[in-house]
Amino acid sequence: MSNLEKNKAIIFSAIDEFNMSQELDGRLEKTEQTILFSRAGYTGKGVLDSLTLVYFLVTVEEFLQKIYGENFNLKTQNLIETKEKNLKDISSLVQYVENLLN
Amino acid sequence: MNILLISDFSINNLSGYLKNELLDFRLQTTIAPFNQVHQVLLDSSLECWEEKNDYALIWTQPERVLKGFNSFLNNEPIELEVILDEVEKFASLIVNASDRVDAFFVSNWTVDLTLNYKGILNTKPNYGIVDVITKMNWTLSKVLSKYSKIHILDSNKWISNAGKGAYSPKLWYLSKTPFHSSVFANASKDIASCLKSVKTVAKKLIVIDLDNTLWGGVVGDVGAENLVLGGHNPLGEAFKDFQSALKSILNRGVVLAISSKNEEIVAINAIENHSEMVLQKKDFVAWRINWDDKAKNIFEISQELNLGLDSIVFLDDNPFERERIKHALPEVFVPDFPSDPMLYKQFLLQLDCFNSVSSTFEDLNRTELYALEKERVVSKIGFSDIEEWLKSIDIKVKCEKLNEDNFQRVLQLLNKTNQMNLSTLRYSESDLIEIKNNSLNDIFAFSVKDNFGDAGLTGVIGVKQVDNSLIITDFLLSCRVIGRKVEETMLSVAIDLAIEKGCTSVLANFIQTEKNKPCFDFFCSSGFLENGNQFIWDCTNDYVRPFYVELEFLT
Repeated sequence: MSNLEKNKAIIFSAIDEFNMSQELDGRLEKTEQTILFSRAGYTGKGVLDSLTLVYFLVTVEEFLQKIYGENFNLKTQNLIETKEKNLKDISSLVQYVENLLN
Repeated sequence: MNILLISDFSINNLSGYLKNELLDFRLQTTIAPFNQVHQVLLDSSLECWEEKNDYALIWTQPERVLKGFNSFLNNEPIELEVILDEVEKFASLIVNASDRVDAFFVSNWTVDLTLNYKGILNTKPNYGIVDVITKMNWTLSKVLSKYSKIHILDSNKWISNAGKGAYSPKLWYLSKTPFHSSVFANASKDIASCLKSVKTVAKKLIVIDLDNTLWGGVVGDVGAENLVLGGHNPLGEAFKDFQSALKSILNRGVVLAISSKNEEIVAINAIENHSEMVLQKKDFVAWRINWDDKAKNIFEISQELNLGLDSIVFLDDNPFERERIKHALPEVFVPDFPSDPMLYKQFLLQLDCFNSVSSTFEDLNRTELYALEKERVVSKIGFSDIEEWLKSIDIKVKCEKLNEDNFQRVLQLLNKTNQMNLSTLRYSESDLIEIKNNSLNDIFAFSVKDNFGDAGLTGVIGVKQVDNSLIITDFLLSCRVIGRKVEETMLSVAIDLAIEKGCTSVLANFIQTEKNKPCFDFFCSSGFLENGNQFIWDCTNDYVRPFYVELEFLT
């Protein structure tokens, strides 16, 4: 399994955990194309708001720490500040994690 | 069902978990404005109170709602009395706001004890954080426990069960959420259980199997002396502990019956004579120990005890028997019993179906009350004429108006009686207070006793005067005392009251439910004129109260 595939699987596990805290219409789908939040000027609707986005990213970080150790840091604040680029959808998040690890 | 969540932190996570826990109840949540706890408690005109909330939950961090405690955490000089005074003031705000809902849940306070606030002095009286927070929670509890609609929840449990990462500085700085989502998951389970206890009637009867459930082994095969129960044996200890746990649930007012495929004489002998039995024969209010279908046996037990099937929990180690009951009697709650006896006790004590928000004398003595009823039935067999038998048992009925002492029991009866119930109207505490305060309404509570013992407060009549008629809005009697002419005695009270008020008739409007046919049958034979679902008594007629029932009015 490539690193990208491995990280995608970790993020999908985090989605399962995150979805348990969400009502049906606030849950994320486990696909690479899943849009995380709605953006002005773009088609497609994401389910996360600013608060649930934080909850999701903290969950993702926890799952990554289980694999890469407690010191793994998702740099959440930086990620949120660059969300237009790195949090467009699940695949951009997977790529972000890949870049962090390299 | 609506609940308002009040907090000084982002509590959105709890909302999601809670809704998922209570899907069947279609829970709606409203989140009060963030970090405006005092304003929300004080100001009923805020938007969050606009929609009717059935319940409210408040969960706060003590250092954010109590200025004095915040100073204490910062090691600034402050007297404990000042902090406790603030706690009392905060509690009084909750009491005030509790008028706006049917039930108010208050999470007690915690602090992150992994932080070294005062080091080794953390437990020092009036100085250490552990001591101070304990006294704060004790004070909060002392003030709030006087109010029956306020319930304190133990947030320590949610946090300790979440483990090391329960407090999350990262979530706090990023989202003003102090706890890891696992804390909210734990909290939602606990809160959901409390909401269910308020909303539904707790289970009253456990029907239990014997072999490999109450003890290890098959008594018919190995004999009582070789059962695995107690002694220096891990499994024996587990079965004995399970019996102790059952006994503790009995002491909460749940009753116990047996449904077992065995020879009755062999099984009863084991119960009576095995030296390690914690449960005694007198702890079982009924049993069916035979080779019949357990569904038939459970149905018969429910009839014998006058309990609805939905009051019953069935515990059996055999998955076949469990499936049979689930299929044949879907109203009976059949949890999936663990396969390992070492997990029985833990499993039983984790069930939340016995939770009740209040307990009355009648609840706590239910086993004894059923035993008395059994004696009555046995005695009845000796009389061919039921009237003769009733005359012989010296029935005494006490009648009193709704008052502070009987309020909780009346409320409980109104909300759980199904069979002998004219209208099955259910009331919240505030509904009942409103009715009590309306001068056109009267509510009477009836307590019953006879030679066999005291059944306690078991009957309620609610009446309302409309023009020249006295309308019976509520008429209900616990199934434990049905058929002892208490029903007729209660009606006589309503008729006497109507005459006293100058009414010309008494009207009882029957509202049919799935379960209240016994009430309809009673009214049909009561002498009231039947007109569809309305029963009418003309006050110019004499209503003859059963002379052998002694009626006493308490003022």
